[in-house]
Amino acid sequence: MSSNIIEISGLNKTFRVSGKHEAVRALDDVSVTVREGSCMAVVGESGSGKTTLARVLVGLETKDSGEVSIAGAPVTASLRRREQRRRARAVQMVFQDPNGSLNRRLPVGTAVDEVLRAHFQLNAAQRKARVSELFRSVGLTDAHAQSLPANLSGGQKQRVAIARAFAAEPKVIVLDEAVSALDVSVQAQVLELLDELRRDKGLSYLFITHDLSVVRNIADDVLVMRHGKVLERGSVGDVLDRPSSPYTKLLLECAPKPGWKPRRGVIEHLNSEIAS
Amino acid sequence: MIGPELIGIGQLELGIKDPDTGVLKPVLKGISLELGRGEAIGLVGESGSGKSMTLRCILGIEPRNAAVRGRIMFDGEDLLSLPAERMRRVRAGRLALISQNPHASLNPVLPIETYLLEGMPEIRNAKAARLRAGELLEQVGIRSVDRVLKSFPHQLSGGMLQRVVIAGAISGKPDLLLADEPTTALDVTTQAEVAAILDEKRRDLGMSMIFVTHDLDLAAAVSDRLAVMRYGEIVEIGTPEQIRDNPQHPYTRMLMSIRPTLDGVQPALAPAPQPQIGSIL
Repeated sequence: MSSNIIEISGLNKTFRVSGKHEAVRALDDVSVTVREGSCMAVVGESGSGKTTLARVLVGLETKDSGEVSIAGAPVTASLRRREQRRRARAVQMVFQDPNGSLNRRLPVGTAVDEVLRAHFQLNAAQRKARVSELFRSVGLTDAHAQSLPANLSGGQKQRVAIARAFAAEPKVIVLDEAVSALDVSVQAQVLELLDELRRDKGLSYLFITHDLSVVRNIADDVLVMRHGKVLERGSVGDVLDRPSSPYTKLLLECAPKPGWKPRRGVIEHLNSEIAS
Repeated sequence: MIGPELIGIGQLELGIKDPDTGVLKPVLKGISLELGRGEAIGLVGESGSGKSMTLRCILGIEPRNAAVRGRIMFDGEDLLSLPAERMRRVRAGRLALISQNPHASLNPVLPIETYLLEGMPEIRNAKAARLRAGELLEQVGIRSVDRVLKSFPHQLSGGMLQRVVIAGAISGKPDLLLADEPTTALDVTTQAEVAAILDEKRRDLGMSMIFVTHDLDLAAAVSDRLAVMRYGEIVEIGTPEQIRDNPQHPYTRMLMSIRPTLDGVQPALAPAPQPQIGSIL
């Protein structure tokens, strides 16, 4: 039996919005466990709290209350240097826009090299070899490592961001809409790469996405969120083939597929069903 | 093609001039496409395929350093050789653009009401114009009409704004709607609602539409025919059923097989072509 690598229980987070009296409940009593070596997808629309969940898990956001731990050690948003280093070795994040992780003026290999400098006692030659190795593992070459971000395609930059996340040898990688901006042909390659790397290195993923087709292809388990609450959780097969929440059914119905026609009023119908 | 021809694009070529070397980089390599009155066609392709650039050529808003050749016959006249003033009138009265980002169409410091009234200069009576604006919003499924009319763009959600832009687009009953990824930035449930509204209004008013998207299934749902584009060329045209059941071009087949699907069929990982680096779009 595999143990849980991520344990989140009773997590709450509210945001104050200027000009409004009521605070927004971004996370409302959220509990999640992720089995070691598995991929947990978190699905929801804008405002569901899925990105806030990811940010709390990697320590980019403070929590109001609740427990968050990775491999048994609590995760906090502490800015103390020791805590930051420990956190970086536990969990890394890949964002939707790879440009956010890359300096436009520096070769993309530097982004990976910086991670090695921060976390490992390696000399320049060893780091260079490791950067090559990491680039090869995501299907890129040394020539790519020496390129500026502007000279790489979106898919190639996302591969660099993945290599950067792997460089710290974390236990968990959080992917926040990491393939959403990619063309389908590139998306398929990156999904395949992520799947391979997870199996090779025994990593665990928290995979944030709005796309149920992507969930089907990459995840073992899935969590459906709406307005900060978890509406449904289970194995991908159970949730996508036998959804119990009307909202999950709505998401499945609204996703374009062969032979599909959009219908008006579906949202209102299901909103009333959810309310009742 | 369904119905008499509204627009006929013939051998449309577009190149972007490199500012340093003066070399033309080909972006559209001889696009030919006919669209009938009341017909909807979906232009489908990945980044850099030239689908948005084709729309820009129809609107006459191609980049400044672009060289264009070919013809775009619109109701008997070639839009590419139309004097600027005549082109402006065609754009104002007969074409309408719905882009991915509704904020691009809306002035952030003016309320929605002003945006909609600007589009109906023929209605002189202010009260009648306001009534018509409200009517348009109701048609696109907006309930709280008065509140929305008084709102500024930043106070409304993306889905709501895209409905406002659709209301504005249909208000002049244009002959041709140009929709450039109009639902791509929306949540999936909102996308379904907005796509349904767009499809319904287009049919009701008998408008033609060119619907640009990267999503084959979405395009199929709102179009009579699909044109699959790649690297500035149309590789295949057919009805959604033909494309789905019997795709002819290897690229179409690759697109069909590689996208992740809801029913759990793993995408077959064909050696996918890398998109061109440094696309101008």
